Amino acid sequence: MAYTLVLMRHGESVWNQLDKFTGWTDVELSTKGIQEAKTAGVMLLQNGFEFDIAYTSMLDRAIDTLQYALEGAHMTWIPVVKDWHLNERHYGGLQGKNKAESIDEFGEYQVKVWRRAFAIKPPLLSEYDSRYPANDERYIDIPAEQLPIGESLKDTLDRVQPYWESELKPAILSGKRLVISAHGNSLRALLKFLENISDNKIIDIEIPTGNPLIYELEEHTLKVLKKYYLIDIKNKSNKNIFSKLKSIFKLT
Amino acid sequence: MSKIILVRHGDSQWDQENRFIGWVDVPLLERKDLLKNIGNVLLNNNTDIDVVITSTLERSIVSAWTIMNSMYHSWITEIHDWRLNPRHYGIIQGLTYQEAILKYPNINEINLSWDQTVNPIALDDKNHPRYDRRYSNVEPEKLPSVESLKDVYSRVETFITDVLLPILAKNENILIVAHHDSIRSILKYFQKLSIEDTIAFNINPSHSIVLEYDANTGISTQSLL
Repeated sequence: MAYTLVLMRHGESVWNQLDKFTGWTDVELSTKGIQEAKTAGVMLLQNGFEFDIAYTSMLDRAIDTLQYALEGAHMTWIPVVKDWHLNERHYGGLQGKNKAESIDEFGEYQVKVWRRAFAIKPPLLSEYDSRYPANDERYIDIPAEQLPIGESLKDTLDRVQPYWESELKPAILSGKRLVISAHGNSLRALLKFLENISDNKIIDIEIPTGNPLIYELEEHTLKVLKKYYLIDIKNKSNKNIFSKLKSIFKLT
Repeated sequence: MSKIILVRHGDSQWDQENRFIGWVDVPLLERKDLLKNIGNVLLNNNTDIDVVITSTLERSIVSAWTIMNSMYHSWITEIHDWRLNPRHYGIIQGLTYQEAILKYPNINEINLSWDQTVNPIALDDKNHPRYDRRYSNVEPEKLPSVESLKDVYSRVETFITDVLLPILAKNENILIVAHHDSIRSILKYFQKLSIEDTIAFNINPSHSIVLEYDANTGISTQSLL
């Protein structure tokens, strides 16, 4: 008996379209993002997936993705854990800025370094900044010094790791079937732990949005036996999959 | 002081067809404007919700998500508890009112009573809650085959003692999205409603009622959103 683990990167948000640094900013899903999440849910149901518990970040776009997917899968009743450790990389002072604006302000080279380097932090936020996480009511129970004010990719991986070790891994080992809804960089962290990916390589790994990533893991060892995306996008018949499912399942 | 905001879930297809739904997990219809409006009012009033509690049925959970989403508070801690489920309608679950009245000419009397029930579904019926994996953490003998309003009240009372009172003791605000029978049971407990008043109490789908509760005195007052 292998364990099954399903990872989902949130569907497209309205800021993806505007090309802004999002990070911990709460941004809504775009219409396309909502459709991606509903499609994922229906496909999970159609392929016989069952879950015992769901994990998500504290950010609306990941929670909403999870909710639309669970609604599509008619599995809304499973327990849901919302935890900040699964949040996106914190982009500090870049958050809310358009990529072109950032290049004007800091120069193309510097912006490229912030986006592409493994261990270089973006400009950090001060506690007087409206974007400072400890001022946000959702993190009120978390000691301010634990909350990031600007992270490199390395910082994000370092904060996801203890959560993986203390919460996610034990849950999988106990035989629970997990679905995790999170972000490009917090999911990179999970991929790194699952597949022992090196620091150099992890930065080049891109995870598509709204397409459930399925892992089959060996019992006890969590060795990856199989890994695949639920929706085969190379198959041309999946190109307009939402429109197809829409009429069958009365999606709106 | 704490606020308990009670909301009845939005309409499902079966509500509109006037069927006895009970524990059947019928999805919510997409028209969610009234629920979104509840979220907008909570946001505009700056009501901080600390925890959201629903039944284990999709129409209540998705109603709660709709409210949380429209107030940009999807991140609030949520609990799904089977004891907030509606009344289990036994063998008439899924029947329309017209179909039920053929089996039980006195169906109105049964439904408007405190302790009468229709016949239970069989324990080996595949639709019995004990075969539904969402209740796998509940002792099978606690799961109903049919319920009177009195039975609903008894299980809601254990929910209040186990879950609700400890949260209220911390002066936190709670949003509960549930069903007609579980909501009037909560009102009976906090407002000390008589059996007659509990039976007579009605709340429409996607509507709300607020209890302001003082944990020191145990006294609650009813208000509107």
